[in-house]
Amino acid sequence: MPEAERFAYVEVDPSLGAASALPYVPLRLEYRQNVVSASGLVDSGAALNVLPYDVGLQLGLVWQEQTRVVRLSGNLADSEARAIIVTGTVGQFAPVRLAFAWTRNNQVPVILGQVNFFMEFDICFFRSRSIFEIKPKESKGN
Amino acid sequence: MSLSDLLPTIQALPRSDKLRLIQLLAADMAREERAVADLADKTVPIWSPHDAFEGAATLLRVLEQDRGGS
Repeated sequence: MPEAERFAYVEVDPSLGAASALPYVPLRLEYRQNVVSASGLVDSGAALNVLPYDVGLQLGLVWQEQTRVVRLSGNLADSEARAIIVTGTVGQFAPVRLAFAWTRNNQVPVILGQVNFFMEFDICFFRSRSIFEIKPKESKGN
Repeated sequence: MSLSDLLPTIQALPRSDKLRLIQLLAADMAREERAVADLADKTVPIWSPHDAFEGAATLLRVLEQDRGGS
């Protein structure tokens, strides 16, 4: 069983310091032969993973070819989205299949939500220390 | 550790250290207040699709179909 990897919260607005700290994790996304390095917001409040439009384009996705519609909510309720599956790698862990709602919106970060990032990884937040830890899910036999 | 635990130690500090402690605490509290006030002046977008369960179910179906096809 691999050890958990530890990551630091990222202060997205230096003028606000710790008040703007969010759990962003560096990850590698792969679709066919295309690879993109991204930073994903580990968001336990999100029902699903979300991929911004430009990141999808960098991965070689073609909007017209993606026909499975996904309905979003919140700030993204007005944005069209399509279901796509890419390979995602966090740290030194083995790659996993990640399903994303690929949205037309570019104002959104890469969001890593309950389906299916939190189904693939066990995550502990230690906000008071501005760190969080991630490790792959344990197989059912363990 | 509670304040009552700390108090005897603090009271035993020399005057200069007590003044320094007051300055440190005041700066610390001011920083916290400033962070809250800054947030109050800003529009903070909440992107989380927190109740997009229908969309989440779609992704799960797609994952299942992909697993079956691969």
